[in-house]
Amino acid sequence: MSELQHTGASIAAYLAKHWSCDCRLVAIEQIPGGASRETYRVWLDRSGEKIGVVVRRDPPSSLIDTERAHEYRTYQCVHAHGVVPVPRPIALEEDPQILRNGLLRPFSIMSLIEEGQASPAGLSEPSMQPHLGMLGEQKWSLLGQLARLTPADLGVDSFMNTPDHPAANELAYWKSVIETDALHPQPIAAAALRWLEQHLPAPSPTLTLVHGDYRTGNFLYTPDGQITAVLDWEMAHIGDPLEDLAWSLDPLWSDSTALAGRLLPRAEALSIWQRASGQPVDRKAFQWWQIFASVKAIAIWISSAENFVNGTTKEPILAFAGWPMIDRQNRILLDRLSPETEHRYAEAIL
Amino acid sequence: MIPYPSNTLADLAMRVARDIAPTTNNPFSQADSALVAGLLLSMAQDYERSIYNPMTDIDEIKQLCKDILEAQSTAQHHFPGVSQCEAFLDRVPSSLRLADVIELHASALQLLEDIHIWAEQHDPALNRSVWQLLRRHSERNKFDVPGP
Repeated sequence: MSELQHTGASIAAYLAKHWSCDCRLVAIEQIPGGASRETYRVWLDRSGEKIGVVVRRDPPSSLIDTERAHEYRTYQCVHAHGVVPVPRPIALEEDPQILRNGLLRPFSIMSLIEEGQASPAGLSEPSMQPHLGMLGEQKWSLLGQLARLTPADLGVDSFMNTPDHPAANELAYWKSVIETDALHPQPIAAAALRWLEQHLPAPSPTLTLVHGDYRTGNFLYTPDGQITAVLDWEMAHIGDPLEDLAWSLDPLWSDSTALAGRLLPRAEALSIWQRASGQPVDRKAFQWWQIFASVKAIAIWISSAENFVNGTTKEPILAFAGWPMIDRQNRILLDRLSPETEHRYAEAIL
Repeated sequence: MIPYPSNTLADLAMRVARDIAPTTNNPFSQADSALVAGLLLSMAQDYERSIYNPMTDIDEIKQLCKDILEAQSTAQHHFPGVSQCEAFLDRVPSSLRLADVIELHASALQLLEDIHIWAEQHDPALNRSVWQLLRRHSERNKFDVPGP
């Protein structure tokens, strides 16, 4: 039996106990792209009914150090409210006694959403071109609708910290990641960190649930242009809604500066978000969050490089993030901070 | 001996991307193969410039140091790291082995960061020069590979 089949059989056995019914493995495949968790798509026969689940298991080493229970509870809250489509959470397992005889490392299980793919490159296919506008409308509308809700509306305030000053809080965290994990001096990131410290905006007027990685690649879309699920809530936290908006518009998530997230011109995306959220975008604060988005991304890439070099997992995505992606993010930051910018890699802010 | 390994690495990247990745039987292996091909291509692009780029940075930072030292006699604000600049001008890598070059390059970038912090506060022209240097540094190190 291959390791993958063994993993699938362990999942089936676990769910048979969880559901107290007969449950057999039909098929399993590992899903590419998840750098923070090993992710599997599993099809099962549950007492004669074919069902699909997604299993996310802790890897020995990860690109982002996140708390699995935190992510799982976030899914529970968002799913229960329904503001954004997400998979239905089924189980979270962290008990070492149970793990010892099966999947070895903590994992969570959610329903499989069969319709849709996440591939950013798939959006460049000719068949998707007529649907990009509609997808963009949904992407930034969903984010705007999320921004209308308070953390209490969703129930996430019961387990997430409520920061007094989200910008200062986020900056302190990601600065420490850069300082701890950089394998070589990073003069561009260092300059950006100084700029962020010197231009800290006032504490956010509204607090909401921030997804933390809201970008093309983290939602499922169908061939006819429907978003069926928003995924990867592992960096979710309470904060300023402009954080997600700025992150979603970072030039890194597109193959050209003409379309934000490969979907829409930035100005349109901003209009959609403002309409859906009912909030105006404060230009100065948004400028800060856009620089912050690039710094946070660099911090993640730096951390992934450190993880690849010193960690036990040699996932190629860690090396890729820590090499060409740092280079591209540096050029985006240069375009945004240098006094003599040419805007070759990043459009003018706002 | 293969005298130009960059080409060889690029050929290997193409081999993985065009011949090996399509024969794998699941999306996970295909994605992994594409990433390995991208990394081989990155390595190919970095190989040729792996000594030239850090040495060029070191030379440019030395020139910046010379400019700072020359300007000290007439400067309104005096750079507190003059002795570091003077010391850095004498430094050369212990050898042209990559590890030795990278070690000196790290010192050079650290000094550049100190200069930048001071220039931001006291010397707009020097600040611009640092940003220009960072731009050239970034363009030299640019990769041309498709994203994941």
